[in-house]
Amino acid sequence: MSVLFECKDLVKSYGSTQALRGVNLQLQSGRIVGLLGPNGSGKTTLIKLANRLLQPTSGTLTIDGEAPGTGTKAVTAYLPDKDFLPDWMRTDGLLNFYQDFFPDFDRERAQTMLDSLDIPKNMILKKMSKGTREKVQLILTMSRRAKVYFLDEPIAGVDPAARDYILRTIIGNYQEDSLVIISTHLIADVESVLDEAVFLKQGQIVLHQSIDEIREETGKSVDEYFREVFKC
Amino acid sequence: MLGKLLKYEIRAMGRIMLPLYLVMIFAAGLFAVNMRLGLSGTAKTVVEKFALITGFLFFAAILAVMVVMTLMVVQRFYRNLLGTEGYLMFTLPVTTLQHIVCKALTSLLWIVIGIGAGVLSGFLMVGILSNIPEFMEELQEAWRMFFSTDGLAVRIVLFAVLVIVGIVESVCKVYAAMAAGHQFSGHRILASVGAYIVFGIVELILGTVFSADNKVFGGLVGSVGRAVGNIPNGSMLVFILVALIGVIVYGGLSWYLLDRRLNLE
Repeated sequence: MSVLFECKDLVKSYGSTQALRGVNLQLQSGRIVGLLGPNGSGKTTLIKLANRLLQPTSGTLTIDGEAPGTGTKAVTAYLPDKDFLPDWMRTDGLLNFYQDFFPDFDRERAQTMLDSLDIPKNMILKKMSKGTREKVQLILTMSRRAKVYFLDEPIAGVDPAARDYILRTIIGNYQEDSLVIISTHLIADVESVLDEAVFLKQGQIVLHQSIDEIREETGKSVDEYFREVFKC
Repeated sequence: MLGKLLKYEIRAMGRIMLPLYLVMIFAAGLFAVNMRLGLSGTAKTVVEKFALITGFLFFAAILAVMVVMTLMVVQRFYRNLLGTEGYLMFTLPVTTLQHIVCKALTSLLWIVIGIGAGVLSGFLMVGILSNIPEFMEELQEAWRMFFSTDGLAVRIVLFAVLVIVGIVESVCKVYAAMAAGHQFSGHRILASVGAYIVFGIVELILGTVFSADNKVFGGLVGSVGRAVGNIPNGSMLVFILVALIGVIVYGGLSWYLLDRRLNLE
């Protein structure tokens, strides 16, 4: 196992508001990690910094030993919590796009998944239902053979059946020697797939442990322990 | 990677612009045919009405091309880079400079094609309305003059360069205004318009400072002006240089704001 994600004294401020307050974190390959915290705890900010969509105020963040940039973007697959694909494009156009820009994109794998959902090749994204669009986004992201996957709230706002599909897709498609970081506040749904949990509270890490350790030490599920830590 | 970006960007703009240009050329042809029929004197009143309608259609098409082109320049940058699509575009293994160059070159390409389509429409109308062999002869004569008149070819080429650099400068100014407007957390479109106005005011102030009438710099500007006046096509070269400075300033500002101060919603 090697360190694929590392933050040292990472701070991100928006004006006078500190979204991240000195985060120190090391995550290794071959793990599925839950980045868990309530809304506004800094999960999305941390993921945006890792994808160079934001610049840190101070401190460092590295992906496989490299600061975020074109080099890390080539080995990082990111699923934002937004509709991020151009809605005028067709399914096969999106496959071409991913194939053109990401050398690690496995088109065959993506096509098989799209076929299993009966999504036509020439269907325009705009004409798809919200659920189908989200599945297409997930399929494209998980069809990359990336070193690090960042999945920001992948199951928020979808029905239970879609949640199962999303989690199955993640588990069935990630590279075993890669690192998967899933940000969510819906702990109960993802708990079964996680190896480790990172609790983020008001921009600070309050816990980083394996799921088994949390269960053994607290005698509670991660979801129950999360509710206790973040009790209002 | 720039080539790949260009491929998708040209397609994205082309799916809107190309049909519009074809409509403009078609409307020009239709208008000219009706005009010619009207001039020949057959079924005058009906043809005149058609000529009026098709004439209106042609000018509406020209107006639509100009409005849509402007909107496309704005929309492709704002939506594709600063909107939610930015989450895809800025996570591609591509540099910020490549994104800006791609957007500016594609806008330039479609504007130049638009100018070409406009010229083609003009030729089509003249061709239909006049005697075609005569028209071709006049064209050949103009071509001969282009090469035989001293310095005309150089002047026209320099003018074309000025138009191209001027278009890129205008496009970069719009990009910089949007990137600046995006620094605000709310009312970003309004802030972008505000930034564009501020850029205009700054340009105006600089224009006043560096004019021959200015008390401080006037003498210097005057002597530079006289020196430039002695160089063939000197003023044209100065305009090109000023436009190039604009490209660097506005392009550089866009790059800085997108690369170092990006804040997608």
